[in-house]
Amino acid sequence: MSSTVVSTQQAEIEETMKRIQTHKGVHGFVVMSNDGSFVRSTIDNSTTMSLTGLIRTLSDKAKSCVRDLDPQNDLTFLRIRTKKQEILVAPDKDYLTIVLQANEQH
Amino acid sequence: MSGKQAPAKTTTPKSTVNQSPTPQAASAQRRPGPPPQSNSPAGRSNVTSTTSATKGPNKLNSPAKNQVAASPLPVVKSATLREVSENAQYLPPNIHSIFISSATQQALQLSVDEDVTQENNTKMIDKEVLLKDIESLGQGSNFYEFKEQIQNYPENEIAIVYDYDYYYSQNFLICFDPLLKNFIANPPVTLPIQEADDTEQYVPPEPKTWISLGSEVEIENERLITNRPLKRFKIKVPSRSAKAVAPSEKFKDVDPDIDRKKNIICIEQYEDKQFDLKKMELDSSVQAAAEHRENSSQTIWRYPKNQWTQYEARTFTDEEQTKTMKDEQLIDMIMHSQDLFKEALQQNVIHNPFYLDWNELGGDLEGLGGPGDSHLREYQSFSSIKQSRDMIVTCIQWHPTIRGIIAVSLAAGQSFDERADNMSRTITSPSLIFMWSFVDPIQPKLYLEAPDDIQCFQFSPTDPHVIAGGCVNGQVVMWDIKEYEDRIRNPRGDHRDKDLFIPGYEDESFFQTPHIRFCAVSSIENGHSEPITDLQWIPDHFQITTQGLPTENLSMTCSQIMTCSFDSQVLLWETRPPRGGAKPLSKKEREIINPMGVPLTFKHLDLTWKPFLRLNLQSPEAGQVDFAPRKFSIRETQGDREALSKEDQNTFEKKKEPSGGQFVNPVDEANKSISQAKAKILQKIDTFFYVGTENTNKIRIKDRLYYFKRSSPGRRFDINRRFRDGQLVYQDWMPQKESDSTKFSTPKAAWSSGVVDGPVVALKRSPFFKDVLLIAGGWIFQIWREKVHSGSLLHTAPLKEKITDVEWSPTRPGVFFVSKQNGGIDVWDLIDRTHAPSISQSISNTALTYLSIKTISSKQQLLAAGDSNGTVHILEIPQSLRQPINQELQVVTNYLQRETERRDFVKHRWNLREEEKREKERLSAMKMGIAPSHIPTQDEIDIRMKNEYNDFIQFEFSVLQEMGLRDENEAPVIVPAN
Repeated sequence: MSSTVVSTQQAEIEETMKRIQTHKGVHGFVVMSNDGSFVRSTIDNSTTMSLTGLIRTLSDKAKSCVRDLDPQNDLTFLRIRTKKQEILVAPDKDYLTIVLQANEQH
Repeated sequence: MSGKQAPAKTTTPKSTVNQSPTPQAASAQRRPGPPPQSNSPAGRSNVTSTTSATKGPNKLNSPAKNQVAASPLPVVKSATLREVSENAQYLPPNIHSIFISSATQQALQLSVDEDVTQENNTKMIDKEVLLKDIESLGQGSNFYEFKEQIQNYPENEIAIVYDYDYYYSQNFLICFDPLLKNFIANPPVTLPIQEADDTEQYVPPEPKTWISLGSEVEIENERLITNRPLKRFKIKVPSRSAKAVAPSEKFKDVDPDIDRKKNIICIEQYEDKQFDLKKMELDSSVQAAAEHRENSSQTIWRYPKNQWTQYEARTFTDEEQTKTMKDEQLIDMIMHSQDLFKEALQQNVIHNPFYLDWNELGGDLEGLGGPGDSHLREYQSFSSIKQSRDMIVTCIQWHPTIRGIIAVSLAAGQSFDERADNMSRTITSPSLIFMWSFVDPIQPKLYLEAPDDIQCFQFSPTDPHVIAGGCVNGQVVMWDIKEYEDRIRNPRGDHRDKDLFIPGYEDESFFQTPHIRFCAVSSIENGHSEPITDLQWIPDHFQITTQGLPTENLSMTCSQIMTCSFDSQVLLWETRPPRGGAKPLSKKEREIINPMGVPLTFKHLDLTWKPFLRLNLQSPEAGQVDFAPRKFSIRETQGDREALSKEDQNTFEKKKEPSGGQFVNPVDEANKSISQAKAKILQKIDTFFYVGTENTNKIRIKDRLYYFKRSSPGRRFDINRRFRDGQLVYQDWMPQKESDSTKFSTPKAAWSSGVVDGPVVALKRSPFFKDVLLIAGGWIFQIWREKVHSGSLLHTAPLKEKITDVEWSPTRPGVFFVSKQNGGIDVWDLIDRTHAPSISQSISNTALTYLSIKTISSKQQLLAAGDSNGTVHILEIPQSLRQPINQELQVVTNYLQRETERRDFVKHRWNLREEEKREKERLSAMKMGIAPSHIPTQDEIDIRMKNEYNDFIQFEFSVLQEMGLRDENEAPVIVPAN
């Protein structure tokens, strides 16, 4: 019973990922675990490596910042807007999702 | 000096005791060998100062003991009786204490303090004398008790010793031992000998436990401890120079009284009252100087090492990935974050996050400024007092490489008739091109002589010292100013630099502006038969073959010239010598050929030069006069490498020599000939070009109306154009094979249309859009897009003054300058408004004739405007007209695109109208067919009249449209026919 639920949910995940990826301007989607290794990525390996390594530390830092300010608060979403692209980060307890949205003019 | 003494003090702190500074003495005494009698009272009493050293080291440093040692007598001066008796028992057995009375002393010559003293205390007395004394005095004799001993004494003399301190209870001692007597007699002499004997039998002293008697404290007190580093002084005696040591002066004695008046100043002594005052108070000060200290420290140097760590990024294996993908937490997380992402992404779609407000803000600020900021400012003006009179400026060109150099051609402002009249007269002054420098506005740097008035000229883009010009008489003229480049470059007005010459020896010719004769002119028969109106160097990235094919230019330098003239010809000229060209001349030959000192760069062309390609612009319709070109414009521009393939572009840039240029004086270098080997045909280059003409067809208005009535509404517009004076012609330069013969000839114009109401005076391509042309003539100017031939993108209502020239801004896509007959310049800004100039400014009181713009630097842009008085006005472009405003290129591109689309729409409408008309004709024909002999009814008359009215309305509309009073998007109000 539970396995079927999981499999349906899995299909749903794939659907979700696809939906996000087809969004305008999105050119990368990475799911990573909190120990730094990625589960799923749509961009090339080396970029993913550097991205996961760097973003994870940043999101940890942001999380600790939010918690230090108010111990009952927690970080739910992180948007890093840069000149060329926007990096959207959704941190969670064990996993972290990153979406890259590029400026179409560049 | 004191420094040297200091160590001596510290090292021998005990020398005061020893009093024997020499090391030899010290070493001799170092063997103490205490004499056996040293502790005996007899020894002590007789020991002299020299023996004191032998008393052992323990007591050496005591000054009190020292004195004891120095004295021959015991230390106790007033001994008590008990002590005396104690002392007496120490006497050796044969020595006795004796009291000798003063009478006896006198008799024996032993008087105290006379015969014997404390120091000299021994006296030898004869035995007989003593015995006599005993006999005479009996018991009263002092020596009575020793009578037997005296008698028994073996020797003659008896030693009497004076006891100064009564140490042994009596004032004298008497010795009855001959051995002791000897010892007493020679005590000091015998001692050292004894000592020497002792040392020979020296037995090392047995170590004893040291007993502290307080001496160590004394030693400690005496010891000099250095508690600070020794001070060092370096005293330098200033060395005297040899001169000071041995002055050359010689001194001699003079008498001050006699020679007083002979330069001797004598300062006589006198009593200074000042010194009577007693100094009561003294100001003194002491300065403590910091000790000089030199320190150094050594740090550890850790040498660099190359180290690296290799690490591997952690990844999941495929199995792990699939496993993790099933993790519920992951699923939860993704499902949860999905909304967040969606929200963020949608927000970004709604509001572009990459739009930086700060960037956009800057551009608008640039445009701001005072009212003076937006006007053209006169920077400089050039006008020659002698030569500029009654001349008009025909062409202005900036030097391509040297800054601040501008060339101006002047021509007599004569009408054709005047010119014809003056033809036969000798021309006194040659036609000139003036080369002005910004440094010197009075006198030009160079004059270029031409055979006739120059209408147009241009510097070679790759060889700036080569200038090609077009003459009024139809000849093409070449100059080479290489020899004078230094003179141009020299920033100073060198003709006024009188310092170069010694006064009286000035080289007059040096100060005069040189006149440079042309190098070559084209042959009269083969050139143009009318004044050359436009001339342009073909850009360096391609060349045109005699077949009209554009090919690669392997020499990478401009060598071909394109000219046009009224004689309906466009000619292409090759400046390089033909293959295997002219052979170099010997020096002598050169002198004969070249009497004027003209560079031989183009000698091979002189008077025999023929165009290699001739284009005859025929009229599209037979029976009409051919086109009379005034201006032309080709698509390719200098420096634009787009036509080349990427690979070629690289090689092109690589090959490009900075000093390049194939136009060299054959004296310097052998001629380079045309190398067309392996030159590829460039497919991308468009062989079509535009020509602006002057229409000599004068058709009466009546005829025009006739044409209009006969033609369809769509055609009418076209016909309306055909009768305009200035035509725009789209022409292919590639000759085509004629159908009936094998001869190649210029094809007919692909398209032509009258666009402006006067001879075309300017035809310029936008520096930003290769396919956008600005054409001006008569009172109007228009903007056309290449290949969009249904109409102009922008046309203006006729201006009040005739237009003489137009020029695009090189930095702002939407800005161009229009010069007018009344001496004014209009600045049009397509972004600001398209129906009227943004700025209108008066520059000169005579008509402006030519405009030429140059970007000097990023902060300066100059517009040269020539007027019909021979003056060139250099105008500085204000920042607002120089700096492109934010996204200007985009805005102008959009504008032009919009206008192009509008043209398409108009074309579409024309077709619609055509259909309508045909339908109407069909209807009327039907009506006519049904009742051919029918008398028109009132309705029919109405319809016809309405049709006519509609036709008129349309015609009126098209006329108004042409004049710019109606927008083309408007449709004329048509009364329905039924």
